[in-house]
Amino acid sequence: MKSVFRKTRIAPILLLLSVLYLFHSCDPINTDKPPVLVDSLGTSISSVEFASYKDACLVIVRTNESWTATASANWISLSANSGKGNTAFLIGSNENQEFKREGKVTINTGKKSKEIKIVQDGTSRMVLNILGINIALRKIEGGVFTMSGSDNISYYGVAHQVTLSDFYIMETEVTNQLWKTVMKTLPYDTIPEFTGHSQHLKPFQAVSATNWNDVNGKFLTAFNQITAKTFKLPTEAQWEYAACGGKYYQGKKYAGSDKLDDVAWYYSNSGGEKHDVGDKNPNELGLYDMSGNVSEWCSDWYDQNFGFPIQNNTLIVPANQNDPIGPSTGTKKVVRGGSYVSELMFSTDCNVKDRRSIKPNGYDMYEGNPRVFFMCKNTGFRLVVTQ
Amino acid sequence: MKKAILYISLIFVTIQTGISQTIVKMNLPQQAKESLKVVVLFDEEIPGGMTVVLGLMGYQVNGGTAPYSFEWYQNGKLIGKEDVVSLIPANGDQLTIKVTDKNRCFSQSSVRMKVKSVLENEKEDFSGGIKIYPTLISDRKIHISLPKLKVNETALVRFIDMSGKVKTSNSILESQAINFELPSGSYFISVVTDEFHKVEKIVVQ
Repeated sequence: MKSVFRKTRIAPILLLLSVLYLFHSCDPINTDKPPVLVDSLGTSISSVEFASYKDACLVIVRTNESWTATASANWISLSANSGKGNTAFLIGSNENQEFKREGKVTINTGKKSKEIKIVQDGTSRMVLNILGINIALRKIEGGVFTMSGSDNISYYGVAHQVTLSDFYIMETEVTNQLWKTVMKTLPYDTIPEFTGHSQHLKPFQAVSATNWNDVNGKFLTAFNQITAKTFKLPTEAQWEYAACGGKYYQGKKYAGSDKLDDVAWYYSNSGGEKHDVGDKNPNELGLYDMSGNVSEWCSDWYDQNFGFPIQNNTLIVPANQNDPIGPSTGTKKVVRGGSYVSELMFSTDCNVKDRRSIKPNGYDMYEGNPRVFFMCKNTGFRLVVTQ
Repeated sequence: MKKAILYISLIFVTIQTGISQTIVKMNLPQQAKESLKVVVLFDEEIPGGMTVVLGLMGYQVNGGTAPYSFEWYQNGKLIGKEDVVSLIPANGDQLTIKVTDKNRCFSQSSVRMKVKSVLENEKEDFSGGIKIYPTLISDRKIHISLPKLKVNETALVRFIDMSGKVKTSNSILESQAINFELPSGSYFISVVTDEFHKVEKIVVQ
């Protein structure tokens, strides 16, 4: 009886223990949670592209740790630079009035680090103050275009595909004022025969009578020292793309219009004089005087076929050229755009596809004559910069 | 006589009124040329259920007259007046920034922000495409599928038992199957790379 009693008291306890054991061993999945990763760090984004104006984005930091965030540049601002655990905060950028720029935000826990790449687009119109003179530059978004080959005029050169990167180009031609500020003298000051041509000396007129060597050597050296940037003469491809209106090209004959009077100073409307830059209508990109006023130097050596090879009497035109810089050698430099002496009836100088060339020392067919008549008296320039 | 006195009085009053006419000059309330407007610069939704730190860098104030003052509201309740505000919003909360300019003109209606649901946030994962399969294993072999790793980067694979103890670990350079020797039971497998991590529960038969 005693033993029976003992059995009956132990049995329920054993039963309860066995049920608990079974319950625990059969279904542990529903009762346990995953182990916590103590060194986890993640962010909702790994890179951001901001527009050139003031911009911002919200980033989520996923971690179980304390974290810190630091920005690599002072144009990047953070709404939080430290925290604990999962946190969302803002990354902001100031308005960018210069070139495209890059920075990063670094997020650190004790053991891990993550970087968020920040890229901010460059401004579409940049104004530089150079020794008291404001110079406006327009951003030209690169793209693919068909260079030359218009109107079946042979000296325009063969049509070919070119791909260009983004660049900035001066809104207007370089003026007498800018040249004199940088070089201290005007080009005409050293030409004795120039006496009596004071109509070309006005400060806001485009500078002219500047030969390629002087522009590329003396002026650019001084200008780049002042600006601490790397300005250059445009390549022929950059010049044509910009004159045509870049990606907004509508097939216009001149830079911004089919009517030359709208956009250019040329023989019939110039009165035989250069004019202040920017007085005519701009083209699709906001660039003035790409047709007329003064023709403009490019950096390329001139070749009627752009330096493309000829095999078995056949011109080999490449399928595409990326940022071409023209032939490696030559005797003349490319000049584009026509000028205030271009005659609409007899020439196509002001056409955006027209190509001319002058020796880099500025003398050409008029060599030997009084220098005031040398061809580049109608030739000026504008500059480009990429970064 | 009475009439005469009355007339004289009337004339006197009329003259007096004309002389002592009071002109009150009132200034027009000051107003900026452009109306005050606040624009939200970010387009991501505010995540609920976690700390969110907002600041003025996320907003563009146009028009009005500087200086501006700022007030942050959560469901209509003022939660801050500083350049930066920290809060833990819940799903459905309304966050508002009220900007007041020098002339006491204010703008707020344009910057109501919705809070994203917490459940949606939980769907965000940082696995980066890491796959661990199968989860019911009878042959002591598990397949780990990795995203493309950087040069010299390895993925750490750890087998963790239900008490959180690491039973075994391997470093792998690319997707592969891993053979292991563990007793039957339930485990967690943790795969960690420089960028991502994933934890999967498995049952070993």
